[in-house]
Amino acid sequence: MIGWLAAGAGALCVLATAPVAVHLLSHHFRRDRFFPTARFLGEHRAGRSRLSRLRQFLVLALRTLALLALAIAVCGPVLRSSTSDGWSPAVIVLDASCSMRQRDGATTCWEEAKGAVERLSRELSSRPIQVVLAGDHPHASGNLPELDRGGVRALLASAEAGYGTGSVPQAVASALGTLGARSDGAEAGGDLYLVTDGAATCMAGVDPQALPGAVHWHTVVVGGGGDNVAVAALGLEPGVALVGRPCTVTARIVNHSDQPRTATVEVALGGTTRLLDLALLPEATATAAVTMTPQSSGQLDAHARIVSCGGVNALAEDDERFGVVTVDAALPVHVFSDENPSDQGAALKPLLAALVSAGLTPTLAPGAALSQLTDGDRAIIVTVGILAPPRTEALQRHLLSGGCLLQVISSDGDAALCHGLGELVAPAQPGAAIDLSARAHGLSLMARALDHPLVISLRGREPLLSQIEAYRHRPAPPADGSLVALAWEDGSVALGERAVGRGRWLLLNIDPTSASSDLATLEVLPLLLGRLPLIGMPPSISDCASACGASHASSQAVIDPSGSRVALIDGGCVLSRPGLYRALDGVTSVVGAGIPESEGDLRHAVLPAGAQAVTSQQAWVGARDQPLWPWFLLAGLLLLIGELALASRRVGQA
Amino acid sequence: VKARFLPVVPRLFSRGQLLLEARRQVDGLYAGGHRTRSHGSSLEFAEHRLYVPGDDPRSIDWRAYARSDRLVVRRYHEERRLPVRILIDASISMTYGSKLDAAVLVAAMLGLLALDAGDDLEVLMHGLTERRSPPLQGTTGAERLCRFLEEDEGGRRADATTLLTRLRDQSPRRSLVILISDFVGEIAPLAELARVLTGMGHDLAAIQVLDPSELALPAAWGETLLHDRESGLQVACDARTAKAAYDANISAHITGLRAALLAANVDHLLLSDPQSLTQALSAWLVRRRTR
Repeated sequence: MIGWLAAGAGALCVLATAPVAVHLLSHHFRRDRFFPTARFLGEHRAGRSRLSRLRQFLVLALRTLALLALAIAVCGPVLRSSTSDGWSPAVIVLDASCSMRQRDGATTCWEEAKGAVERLSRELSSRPIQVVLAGDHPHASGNLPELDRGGVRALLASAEAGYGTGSVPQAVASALGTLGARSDGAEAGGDLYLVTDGAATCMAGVDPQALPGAVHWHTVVVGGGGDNVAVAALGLEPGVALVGRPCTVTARIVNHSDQPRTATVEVALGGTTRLLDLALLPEATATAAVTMTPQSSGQLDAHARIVSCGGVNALAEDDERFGVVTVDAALPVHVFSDENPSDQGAALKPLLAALVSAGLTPTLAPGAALSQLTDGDRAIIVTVGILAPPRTEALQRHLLSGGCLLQVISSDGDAALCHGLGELVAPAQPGAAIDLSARAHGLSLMARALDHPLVISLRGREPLLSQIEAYRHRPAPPADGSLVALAWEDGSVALGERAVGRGRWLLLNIDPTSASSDLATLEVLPLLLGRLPLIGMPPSISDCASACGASHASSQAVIDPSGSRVALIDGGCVLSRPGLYRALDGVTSVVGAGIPESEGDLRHAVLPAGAQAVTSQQAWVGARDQPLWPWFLLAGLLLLIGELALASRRVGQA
Repeated sequence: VKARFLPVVPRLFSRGQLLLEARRQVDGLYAGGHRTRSHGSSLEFAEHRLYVPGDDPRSIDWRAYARSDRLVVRRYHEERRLPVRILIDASISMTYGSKLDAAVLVAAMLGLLALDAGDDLEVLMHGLTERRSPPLQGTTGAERLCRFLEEDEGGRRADATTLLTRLRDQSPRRSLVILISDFVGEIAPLAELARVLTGMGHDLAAIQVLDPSELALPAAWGETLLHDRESGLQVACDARTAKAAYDANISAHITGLRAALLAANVDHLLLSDPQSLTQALSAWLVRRRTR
């Protein structure tokens, strides 16, 4: 579409050229004359005259076109950029993920990207634009695209790349909302630019082909593509550090390049430090570990740092990683129950007694507190006597992340909880309770797999198991994929296990109340629960550092690595930068934050269909209104030259 | 005729002022009679001839008889009142530029010369109508001549050949015939008529009046549609490109005309500059006298 820089000049130009045009158009190329000796003109006259008239018309056409071209040139014609109407809004999403911090020579990718956005906003000239910063949370330059660039400049002046994965999908959604809002309720339309480094995760969660048809997607790749060696994670083995038990912190070093590397890595846990030389194969991972045995409970700082690394290491922010290891005196067990622990007829009392006798130190909480489980809590979760199943999202996350749940089926609420963990499938689905007290004998328990770690201590003690009978029973057929350690004679699961994510879901379908079974009267229950730490303790934690950009649940404000206080928002504090976050006393470590592993791979990704990458320069050129007036000016001059040549030739012939 | 066809040209004389203008210009001319080719009794000796019976004895040259012992008679140039006829082509082609003015002015000047010399004068003018003047003589003849010449502004389709044809048919008496025309018509019939008339004893002189733009086509005219209203021909041309051919053609025509007229024993005078009519006419008269 052609636009005009100085459309008003057209009227002026018409006024200026009107006399010439009128002269040209009204010019009589052939005058009529009375001439008595016309017959002496000879034979050539007709042909020459036709040729001359043709030439005259050609000269007139050239003159007219030259004037027209020059007049148009004065009006400043420009070819509008990609969008159909030339005035639709444009939204520039600036990837502010951590990978944008990669350095290429003297500048960083982030600085180049900001420059590109600024230039792009200029090239988009008179079109309304909005810049959305896709950092840890999307942040736009304004609610609506703006014609002046004040908001954009202000945003760019204060913007910094984050340390997380960024929020490109959310930013794109925001941009689409903006483009839709600008088109008066019609389908969203306009240009959507993503300025990014093109790293592996830059387009995660974005599908350009799913955009509305009127939205033109442009992926502007600015620099990027550097090689990087990163501390990807600080693992912990076993998953719970206990006083007096050795624990190991494992630094996972990843070579995000196609070249082999050697790196010197320092790993520290508490006061124990180790320096290791690692050989890193291309695109491979190596580990550096340090082991210590905590002598007291509390927090231990874990730390890994790449001391030296041969070759290019474009991103410095992920060369160091901090984590916090919580050392417990014993394996924590959280018991959630709505029963009274002093109630003799409740299942909670014998269960607590058995846990204590097994050497565990259970803490008791009401069933509703299940919804308040904090992420990263490595405690074993035991539920019994739940009256009403609470919200279980936190429990699901606990299980999926490697936690352990022992569910003792005693109440209808306990049975209902087996159906209430979303998509997670319980080891069995207990039904309604059946009263068997009228029978001469209760339902017998039979062993199924005594090599299971939880019941292996009962091997050789089968008579004990045979003494257990149920007088109140809930049929519970095992679910697919469940491991049945103990079963009732009717085939129902008595003790089963099912792997859920990285965690374990244990289900004890033996009500320990005396009215329901003989479980509590025998020493079987303490024998079972004594093995619980072996089952419930996670073998490892993949990373004892939280990802930057995430929110850490906390009851009080913390101090970030730079010493600034981080306020609580919705019961948590946002980990905006890598490093150790401490409590307000400045000593106690609360949490360590690190760069998300995905941000360490800086190499250009293969972009999805519909998101072909262009360079910033190509984007500028594409966004720029292409000036046409020089061409019109050139055409006008060429036409004038042609006209002059033709006219001079004509005169020469004469 | 559309107004724009007519070029604005300065008149050579104001209406009613022809006599004054002609008289003014004649004052600069050679004033004298016309020699005749007839021989008779005159004061100017011409030759001797042997006496033959029947000759007037008074014409015998006795002195020559005394010297040569032969009877010879003296012969003299005869000087007499010579009828002069001026034929003016006032056709459409002569209305171009100042040609007709020049023709009328030249006719008036020559007429005054003839009248001053005591010659009988008659003017035949083919303009809007075919007009013949009454015999003109003396002082009154001059005034009548000029009135006659001023009465017609021309415009008829005619040419010099028509005039000569009329003369041949209507005036068998010998005379000095001065034909004033642009002579842009065909040469051959004109030359043929001229030969006939000179054979009849007429002394024929042709004065060709052309506009300067007819002698050299102005290139500045550019693209032009030329209307030859006498022939009905319309020619579209670019004067800049057609000039060379035209100039050559008109030059060849004039050369051919002059040659044809000379072959018929006809004097030819080309007048193309209205500002130097007197000089050109004077030179021509001198040339004729010394011929």
